[in-house]
Amino acid sequence: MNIPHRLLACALSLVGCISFPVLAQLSANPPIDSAPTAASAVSQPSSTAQQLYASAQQDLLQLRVLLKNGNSQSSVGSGFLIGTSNLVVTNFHVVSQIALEPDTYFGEYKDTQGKSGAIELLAVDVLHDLAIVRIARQGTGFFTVPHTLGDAQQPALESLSQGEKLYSLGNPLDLGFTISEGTYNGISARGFSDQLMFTGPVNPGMSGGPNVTADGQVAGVNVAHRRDGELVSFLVPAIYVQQLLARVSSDMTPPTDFKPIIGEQLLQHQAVMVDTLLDKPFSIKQLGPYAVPVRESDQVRCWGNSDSSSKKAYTVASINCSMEAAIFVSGDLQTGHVTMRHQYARNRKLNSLQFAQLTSKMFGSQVYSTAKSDTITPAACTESFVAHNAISLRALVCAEAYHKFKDLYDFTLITASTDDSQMSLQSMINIQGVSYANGTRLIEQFLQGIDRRTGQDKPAASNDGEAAQ
Amino acid sequence: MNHLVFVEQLTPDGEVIHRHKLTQLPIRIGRAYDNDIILDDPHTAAHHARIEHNQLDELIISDLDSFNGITRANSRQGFFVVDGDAIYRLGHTRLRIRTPDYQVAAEQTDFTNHRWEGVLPALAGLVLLVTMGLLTTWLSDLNQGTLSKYLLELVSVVGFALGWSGFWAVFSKLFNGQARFGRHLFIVSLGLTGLELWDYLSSMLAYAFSWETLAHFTVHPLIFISATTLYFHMRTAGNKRPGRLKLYLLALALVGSGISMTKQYQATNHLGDALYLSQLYPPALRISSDISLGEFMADINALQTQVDGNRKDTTDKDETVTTSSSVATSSAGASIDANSSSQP
Repeated sequence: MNIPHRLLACALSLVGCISFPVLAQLSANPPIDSAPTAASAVSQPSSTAQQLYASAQQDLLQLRVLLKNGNSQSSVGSGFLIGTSNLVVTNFHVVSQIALEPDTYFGEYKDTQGKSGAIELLAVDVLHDLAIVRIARQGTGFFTVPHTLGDAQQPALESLSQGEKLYSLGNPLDLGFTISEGTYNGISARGFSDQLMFTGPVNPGMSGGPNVTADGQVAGVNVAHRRDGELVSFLVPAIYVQQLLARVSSDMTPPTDFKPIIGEQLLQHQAVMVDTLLDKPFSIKQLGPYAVPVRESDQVRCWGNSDSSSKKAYTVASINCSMEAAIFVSGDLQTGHVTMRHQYARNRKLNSLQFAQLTSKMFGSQVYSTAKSDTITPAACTESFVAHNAISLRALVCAEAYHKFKDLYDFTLITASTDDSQMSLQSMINIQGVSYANGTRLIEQFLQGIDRRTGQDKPAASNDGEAAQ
Repeated sequence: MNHLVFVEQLTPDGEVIHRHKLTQLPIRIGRAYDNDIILDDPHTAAHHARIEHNQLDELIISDLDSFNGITRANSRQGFFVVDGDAIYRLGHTRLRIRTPDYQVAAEQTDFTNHRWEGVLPALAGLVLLVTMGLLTTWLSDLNQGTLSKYLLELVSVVGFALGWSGFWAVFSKLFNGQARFGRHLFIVSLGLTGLELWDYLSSMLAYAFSWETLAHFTVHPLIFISATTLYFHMRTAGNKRPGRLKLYLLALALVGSGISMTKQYQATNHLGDALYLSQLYPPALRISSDISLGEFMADINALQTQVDGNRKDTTDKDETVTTSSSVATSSAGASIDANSSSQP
C-alpha cells in the first residue's frame, strides 16, 4: 500500500521538477493562448511530414543540461546527428552552460526511443548560435550537411525558394518529439549574420533541432522565434553548420576551456559590428536647434516619439535607435548590442529652475554600477563639462569590463546640453561587448555628431514634433 | 558644640535627592531608626557610618565595621577626612558632606532665551515649514499641479513636524517637567529646512564649480544635520551635559555614515551614494569652464586601467562559477529561447 503511494508521489514530484523551467517559460510568454489556434490554422500534418518524421526520428535527439550537484535539469533543447557520424549539431544557447561553467554543469542526450547517454562539447560558434557535441552513437545518415574538412572550398548547398515548405523537428517545451510544417520566407538581415525566416511554429525546447526540406535536405537549425509575432521563427542557415563541421572531426580532443574561444569569437564579431556601424558617418537628424547623430541601417532601427500635448508645461521629443540582434552568451549575458537615444525637452510654461528640475530628472538614474554581477565589473566613470563644435555638454562615460572575457567592455555615454535654460538635449549611447578602442571610437563619433545649429535658435513649434514618424 | 554640617544624598549622576542640615556632631548614619540620617538602602548596615571630629579637629566620616564599608573613588578605607567635592559611597547610597564654609562655583551665564518659548517659536517654525514646503513643491511641480497637491504636501510635512515635536515634548515633560512644544517645533522646522536647503545648495555648488564630490556624497551631510537637530532637541529636553552629548551624537553620526558608505561600497563598488552628478541647473548658474573633446577622450582612455583592475582574478574565478550556479538555474527557462526582442 505504502510503496505505490510513494512511487506516485515521486513520479509527481519528478514531473513537477522537469516541467518547472518550461512552466516558467510558459508564463513568460503571453501570446501562448493563441498557440492552439495557430497550430490548427496549419493544415493537418501531410504525408510528407509523416514520412519525414518516420525516417528522421532515429537521428533526432533531445539535449539536456543538468546540474552536477543534484542532477537536476537546467535547460533543454534539441539536436540531430549528422550523417553516419557521432556528431550532433545543436544551438550554442542550449549548451552554453556546459561551455562556460563545465565544473557545474554536464550534458545528456535522450533519443526518441527514450535511451540516453552523455554528450561531449567539441566546438562552438557563438555568433551563429551553433555548437557541435559528440555522443557514443552513430547516426543512420538521414540528416546530411555536405562539407569538407579544413579550409578547402565547401560544396555548394541547395538553394531554397520563397514559399517552399519546410519542416522543423524537435522537442518543444519538453512535451515530446514533434514535427511542424511551415514555409521558407527569405533571409532576415536584421542581425550581422543572416538568419532564415521560417513561418511556422518553433517553440522553446526545439532550439537546436533540424529544419529540413520536403526531400530531407537540412535547410537550417531552429534557433528563435519572435514573441511579439505569430509563427515568426528563425533558422540558422545550413551554410554555417557546414563551416563549423569543417573544423570538427569525430575523433578530435575537445578544448579544455571554451571561454577564450568564445571571447575570441566575440572580439571578432565586435570588430565587424563596429566597422559596419561606422563604415559611413552617422546620419544627422534635427531636434529643435540641435543636430543629433543616429545610425539607421538593416541592423539598427530607429523610432521617433513626441509628446507635445498643449496641456503640458513642456514638450519632449525623442529618437530611439536600437540594434535588433544581440549575441547570446549565457542566460544573464547577451552582448554585441548598441542602443542610442536622443531626447529634446523644450520649456513652455515652467520657471527655468523648474525646467532644470525636469532636465535633472531626465538626466538622473540612467547609469548604474553594481558590484554583485558575475558577468561584468562595477562601472568606472568619468564626468565633465565638455565643449566642442557649437555646443557645451555635461557628459558622463561609464565603462564595465567582462569578468570572463578579456578585452571586452560595455560602455554608456550620457550627455545633457548646458547652453540653454529653456531647452535641453539629452543623448545616450549604450554599447555592449566591444573592445576598449572600438568603444571609445564609437563614443567619440557619437559625441562629434551632437551640435547646435546657429541661426536656428528660435525653431518653429512644428520642429518639436519632427522626430515623430 | 554647635557645628553646621550638610549631608547630601546624590543620584549616580550627581544630582541631590535629599539635603540634611545637621547641627550636632557626631552624625550617625544607617538603616536603624536611632540614626540621625536613616538610609533606605538594604546594602548598608543598621549602623553604618559616623561623621565626627578627630583629634586633629578635622571632620571625618568613619566606617562602623559595616560589611560593605565606605568607598571614595573606588578605594575603601576605614575613615576619610571629609572633602566637600568628594562623594562617599555607602552600599548603593552616595553621600556628599559640606560645611557652611564650602566655596560654591561661580554663577553661570544664562543663555536660555526665556522669551523664545511657547507660541512664538511654534509660529516661526510653522511659517518656515510652510514656506519651504511650498517652495519645494513648486520647484518639483512640473505638471502644473492643482491646489490639492500643494495642500497634501503641506499637510504631510506639517503633520510630521507636529508629531515629531509632540514626541519630544512628551519626552521633555517626562524628564524635565516642562514640555516646551513650541521650541521643539521650531527646532524640527529648522532641521527640515536645513536638510532641504543643503540638498539644493550642495547640488548647485557641485554644478556651478564642477565639484562632483559634493554630488556623489549626499547622505553624509544630511546625517550630520540630523545629528545637530537631535542635539538641540536633547538640550531642550533637559540634557545637562552638552560636552558628552556632542561626543555621543558625533559618534552616532560617524557610525551612520560608515554604515551607509559600507553598504554602498558593497553594492556598487563606489563609496558615494550617487554614481554621478545628475542635478542640472540653468547656464547662468555655472562658473566652471569646459574641457575639450580631446581631453574628455583622454579621460575615458584613462579609465581602462581602473576597469581592468575591477576584473576578478582568474584564480578565484572557479569559486565565482560555483556560487553563481543558482542564478543560472533559475534563468534556464529563458535560455531555451534566445530571441526575446520586442519593439514598440
